[in-house]
Amino acid sequence: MDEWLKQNRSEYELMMMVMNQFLAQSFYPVPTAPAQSGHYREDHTQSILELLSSFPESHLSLPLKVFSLGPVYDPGHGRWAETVDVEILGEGGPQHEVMAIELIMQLVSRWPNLAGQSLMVLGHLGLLDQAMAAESVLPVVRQQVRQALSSGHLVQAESLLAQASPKTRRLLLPQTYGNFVDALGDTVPEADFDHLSRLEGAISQHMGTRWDLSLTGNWPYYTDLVFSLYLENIGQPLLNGGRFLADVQGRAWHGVGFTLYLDPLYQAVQQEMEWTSHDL
Amino acid sequence: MTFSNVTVAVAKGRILEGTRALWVQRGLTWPVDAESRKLWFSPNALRPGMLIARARDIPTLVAMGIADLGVVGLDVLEEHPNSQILQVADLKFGACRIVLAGRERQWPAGPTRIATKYQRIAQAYFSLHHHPVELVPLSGSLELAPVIGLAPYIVDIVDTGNTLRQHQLVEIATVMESSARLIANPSHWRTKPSLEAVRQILTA
Repeated sequence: MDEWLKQNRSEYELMMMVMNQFLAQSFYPVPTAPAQSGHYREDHTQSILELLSSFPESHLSLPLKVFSLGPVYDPGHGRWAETVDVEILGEGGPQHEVMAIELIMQLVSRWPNLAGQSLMVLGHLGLLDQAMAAESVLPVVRQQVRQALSSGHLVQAESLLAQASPKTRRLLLPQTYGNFVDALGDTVPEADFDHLSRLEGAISQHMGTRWDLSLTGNWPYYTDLVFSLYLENIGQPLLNGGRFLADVQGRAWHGVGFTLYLDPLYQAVQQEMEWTSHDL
Repeated sequence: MTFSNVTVAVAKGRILEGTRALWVQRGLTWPVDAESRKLWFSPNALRPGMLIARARDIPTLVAMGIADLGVVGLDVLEEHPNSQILQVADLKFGACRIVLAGRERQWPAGPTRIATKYQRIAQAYFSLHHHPVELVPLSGSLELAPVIGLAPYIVDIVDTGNTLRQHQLVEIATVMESSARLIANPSHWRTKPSLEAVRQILTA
């Protein structure tokens, strides 16, 4: 029983450590309910935006940095996952993508071994759409490809693109930044390579990256950059996020956000936490 | 190419047989002894590890990261969708169809009852055709349903059609076509260097 209690304590210490980091960086906590209208919460973002939308627009000062803490329900597995959801609300432009990535890198760097075991995978819905448009894929088919990718049907996406879009298909595989920009340059020469390079630079000084346009994020409100942080040999993401545009109660919310999963984070940093507490 | 940290989960039955043929064709050492009743074969340098499990469990094993890859029929993936896996290839074996069958080759007239173990697939199909149906969930021996008066129609999987014929049933419509799919854990698929070789084979 002692071991179990100690583990629970460590997990809560980790949660507090993460929260303190966001508080120290001027993020505001927004408490959201785990269930609403008979549905369990599967995502904090919608709940955060509904709460914020209840204030008059004139009361909001953007950019607004907020986070929410608590479990989200995973209907696929019928289980709850303890999470911290972080949102940078405002223009949701490229600068907020960089800000979110830098925030994640600061968090991960707290545990030197964690960064060494991590790999950031980045996708981009805007670039995916531009690549398909450049190969004259019809808008209706582009929508179907995006739907297929977001539900994990790579086979269906490939079949929709078939022989007509060989350059786009080359972008639907995880690859290094160098290979990705080479392939992207062939298809979308007008892409903002400076911005992509800033993102790559912000991450690569801490961990490896893979770029893969088959990654489209879990939620329909994503519009541009999406990302997942994975750990070596752990088949679950440590965090998922992206840039979004969400229409809530008639108000358009732009932003960049991510959900951090505390269980895999704990698994990954448990040993380092023990070493730190021994050192103390 | 090394497979010492790759595990593949394969559905029992026809899918396992088809996987063996594909595996051997690719020059890999097949890990399963013909006489063995073992369900788990650990990976080594020559071949990936293998887990043999019920078809319905394959997506779960892959989504949880217990297996990096899985081989399972499309029918199973459509009936039990799992948003935490990737379908990465149609392996083009294990072809079969899910069909609507009855005692006469005639589309149901008006609301009807249909026995099936593919409730989600059947519901989606009849919703698409705007046809009102009452689905009776059964887990096996569906061909008996029209014979014993439980339901005049069934939605079931067919391979050769022999079982339908033996029960004086005929196909009325194809609901969906299925074949073996290679599925992957998204995390391992996008980050594990050992799976690079698999990706290259698939894109070749």
